Amino acid sequence: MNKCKSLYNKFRNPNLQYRYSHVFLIYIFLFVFIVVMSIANEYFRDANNFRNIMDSSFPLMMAAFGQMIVILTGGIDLSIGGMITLANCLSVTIMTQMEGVGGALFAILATIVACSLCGAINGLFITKGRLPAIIVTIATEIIFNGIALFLMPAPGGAVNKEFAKFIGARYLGLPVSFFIMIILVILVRILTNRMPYGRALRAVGGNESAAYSTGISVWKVKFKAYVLAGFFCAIGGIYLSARMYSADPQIGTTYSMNSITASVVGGTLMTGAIGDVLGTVVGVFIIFIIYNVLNLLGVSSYYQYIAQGIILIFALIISSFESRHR
Amino acid sequence: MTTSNRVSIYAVSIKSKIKNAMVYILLVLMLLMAEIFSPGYLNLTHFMGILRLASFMGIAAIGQTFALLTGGIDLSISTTISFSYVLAAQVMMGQDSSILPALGCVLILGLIVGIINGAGICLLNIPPFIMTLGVGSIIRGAYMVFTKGAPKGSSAPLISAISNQTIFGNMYGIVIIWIVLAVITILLMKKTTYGRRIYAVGSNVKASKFSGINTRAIIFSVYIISAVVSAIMGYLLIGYTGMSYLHVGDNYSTNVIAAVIIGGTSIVGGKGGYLGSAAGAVMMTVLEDFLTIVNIPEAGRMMAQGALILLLLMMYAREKITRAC
Repeated sequence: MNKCKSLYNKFRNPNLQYRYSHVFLIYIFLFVFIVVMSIANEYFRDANNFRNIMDSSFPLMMAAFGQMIVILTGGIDLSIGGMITLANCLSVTIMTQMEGVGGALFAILATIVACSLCGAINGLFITKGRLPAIIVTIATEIIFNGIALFLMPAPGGAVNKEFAKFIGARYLGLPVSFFIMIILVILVRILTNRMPYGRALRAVGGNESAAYSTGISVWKVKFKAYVLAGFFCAIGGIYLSARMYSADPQIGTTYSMNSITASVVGGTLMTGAIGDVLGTVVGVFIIFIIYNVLNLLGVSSYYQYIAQGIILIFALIISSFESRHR
Repeated sequence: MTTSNRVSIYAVSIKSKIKNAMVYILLVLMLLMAEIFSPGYLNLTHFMGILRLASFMGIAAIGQTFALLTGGIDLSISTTISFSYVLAAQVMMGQDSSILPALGCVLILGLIVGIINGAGICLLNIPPFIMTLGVGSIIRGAYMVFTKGAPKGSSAPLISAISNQTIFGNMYGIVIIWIVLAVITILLMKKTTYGRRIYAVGSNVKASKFSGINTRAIIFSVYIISAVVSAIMGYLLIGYTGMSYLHVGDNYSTNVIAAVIIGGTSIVGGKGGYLGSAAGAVMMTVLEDFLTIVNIPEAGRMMAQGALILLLLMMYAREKITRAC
């Protein structure tokens, strides 16, 4: 009885509501949305459809995780698309040159290192170079896309078969991407909510000078955030290589904006400090389910651009209302 | 009542004087280098061709300069250019008689885009770069849907003549249009109250608001100007190429930002002006032309472009050293 009461009191805690109200609301929205769509469209209900959604949304999920971490520090990373493209092209290039599982493992390692390095370049220019994040990341996106284009002038390449099979496999009826996602969600949540680094992230996002005064090394926190963004893009790009069995130097164009959209829909505030991985996950799912529905309704894929923009602006409007009431 | 002489109270150090003049110095250096590497570059006919290319970038830079001066940015310029390009082509259909209707359509498009941008940024307090990014994506989808992937139409002969036929010997009509627009822009920015208010809002929004400036109206109007001018630029661009293509504006997004930054306009707003952006536009055109001549593949060109922007940022846009660094 007491346990119920304390649980109830915890629920009524205004701090909890403040922190999780947005996430709670979008989970409800997602649930209602899925239920309505499942009733309305027979193709949507298919279990295979959900697996497809999970599979195809995984790269964006990774991009959105990286983007969320950067936004938490109050910055922005528009080069996410470029890093995913680079990861894709680099991993496929290496796997084409080196045969066997060893080649695949080396490709994974090299891609992770390379993309983290790209993130480090971003971080260096933004923190030590004292340059504005928006334009730095716009410029680095062009550079990373250029490197990717240099590695892979045209779509193609080959991917190690065992590796691709492992990534595409299903265990217990769920795709591998689902398990990787669960693990990473748990890890990122622990990082951003429990670990000192996560606290430092939010402190820097909230008030930089106050964070500095508390002894947090602001530049290191921001720098690590951009490196993490690169790391997540590497995972997303490697996954893309496995799923597509090839590389495409144009693959990453929509990821930058979509990752921002997913983060904002998920309750991450652009001003920083506030945001939750669970929300970002829902944000990615909402975007992909909307794409899926548009596809199933036979709507031309050109409308996806319009949908992207509208979702983003809508999410920003809701976000601005929330901040105002705070 | 005597009016005291207005004395400039700015103490402009040598360093910032060099910074302001940097774009012109760089431009001259670059032209000299181009002449050395490929003699005949500064030939009047050739140079007029360069100016012709640069006028398009220069007109696009008008809107971006306005947006950057208020401390914002307009990332929807490239897609607005693309949309007005295909819209103008479709309405004109190669007929001289449809020039004015096409212009009207394009102006309406610019107004709509500008109003949407302005509404989001001013009324809903959405950060400019995200708002324009989202609107840019919507515009991209809109023109893809509008053309159904296959752009139709072509330029009217008169509009083509503006960009392609020389008058008075070597001058192109588009260059004259650019010069006229440039003069109007510079006068607007430096000599009118409106321009002064733009600089004020860019320097310090709160102070401007407390000084009685209607910051919302200023920022709103800036994005309307940006969208309308970009739409006009797309309208003129169809004259240059004749046929209708998709995604023509994509080339103008980062290059225009780079041109405006080289020109001395500060990212955070309040400093700079259009004259520098115009010179920056010429410089970016010469650079692109140079890269084409030297025959670097697309990948190398992209890397060079990105590296150039970073280099420019390191020279121009470094923020002050604060404690938290």
